[in-house]
Amino acid sequence: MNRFDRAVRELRHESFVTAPAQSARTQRGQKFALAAVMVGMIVGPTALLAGRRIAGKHVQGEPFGDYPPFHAFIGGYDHMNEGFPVNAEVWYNGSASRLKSGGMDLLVWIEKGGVYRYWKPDGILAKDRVKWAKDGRNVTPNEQKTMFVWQAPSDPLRGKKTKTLSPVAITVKGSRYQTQATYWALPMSKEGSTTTVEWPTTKVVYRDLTTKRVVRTEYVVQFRPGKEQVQVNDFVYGPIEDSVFNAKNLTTTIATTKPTPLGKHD
Amino acid sequence: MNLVRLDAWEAERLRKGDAQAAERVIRREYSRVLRFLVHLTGNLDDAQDLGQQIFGDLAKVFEGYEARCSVRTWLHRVAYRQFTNLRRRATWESIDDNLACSISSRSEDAVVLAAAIAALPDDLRLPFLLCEIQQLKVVEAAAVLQIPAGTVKSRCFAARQKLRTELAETFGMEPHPKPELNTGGTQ
Repeated sequence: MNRFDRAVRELRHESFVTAPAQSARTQRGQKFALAAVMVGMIVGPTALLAGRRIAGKHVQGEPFGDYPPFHAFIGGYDHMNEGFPVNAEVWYNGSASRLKSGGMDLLVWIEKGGVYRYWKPDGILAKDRVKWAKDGRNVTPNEQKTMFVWQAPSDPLRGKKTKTLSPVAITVKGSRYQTQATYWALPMSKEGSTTTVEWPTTKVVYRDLTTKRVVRTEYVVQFRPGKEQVQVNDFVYGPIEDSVFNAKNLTTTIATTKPTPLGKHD
Repeated sequence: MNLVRLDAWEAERLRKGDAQAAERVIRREYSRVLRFLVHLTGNLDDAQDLGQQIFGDLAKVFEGYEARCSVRTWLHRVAYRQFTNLRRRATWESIDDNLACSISSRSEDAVVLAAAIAALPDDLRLPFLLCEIQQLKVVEAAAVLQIPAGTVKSRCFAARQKLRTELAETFGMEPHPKPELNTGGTQ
């Protein structure tokens, strides 16, 4: 068999199902490979597919109800190219005060059917921002700075109980880079005061607006090995850049598909 | 139960929203269809999104299923249709260099070949992908692309010939084609 036929055969047997693991040349990739196998074993393809489907539908603009209780997480980089890592975290339904006490002065907008909605960290809809969004005015550098330049807290935030979790896409757009996080949760159940959710997952896509290319994709999958459900209360979040940031061995960040060209901060 | 009837039965289960049938089809076909989509779109993200659209709602996908083809062929046909819809969108652009990144575990030869396939014109690329990479029969590829089987066969041969000629020097081989099409069987 010549090299051409060998290459054809290799392409025939290529699998992309655990594709992010195929960046296993890096240490983080290797970690992801392991995590992907674990998640694959526990969750199975149907659950993964179902989650992505919900997220995909939302991204296309399907309404998900007004003021949904949700939380979402974005790990990102300085969108103004000023040089610090940025993490944006949005909590709603009782958890917003946590953000405020963390000293965060952050505003993000939530994409909903092409209409941007703005939220203040205390969870109150900022009406002026809504008007501003409808006007279609661009973000000024100062506003960008207010929105995006925020250092991740040193202590991981503990998740608070939420009534329901809805799939939601959050977009943070800067002068050059756009970060979009799609969060979803599979069907949940509620027992007494405990809300459970099956395998909530966040997909974060970093896109270079100049070239329109995806420069980085990350997945955050929260799971408790050996159990089919995890409790929202048990989640512990941390900077997404950490491959594993599980204070209680409950939450794992996995995957990076390629090295980011975002400069000196990766 | 012959294969066609089995496919028809499975499609019927999918239409009715049978979760077990859906899981069976996902386990059996998702990887293959995703590979096709990756080659079509040139990047893993778009391929995954399209894959989710297809496999996330199999009941809808199989609403218009015609029992003349297999479930696998039907899924490829839907995948191809989804890709053409995506390509029509003004905002979409192929990101071919992401493909090489997504598949960094490939050998160098496979990366070179994948790039050469991506550079082929669609009328040669698609038959080659379906017959040689996806290993569909010629009649199945014809059903996916909605063109005659003879056309698929000749285009696949031409694609292989072109690739071998282009890569002859790189791979250190004679640029003569060696057709090995799977022409057997009917649906």
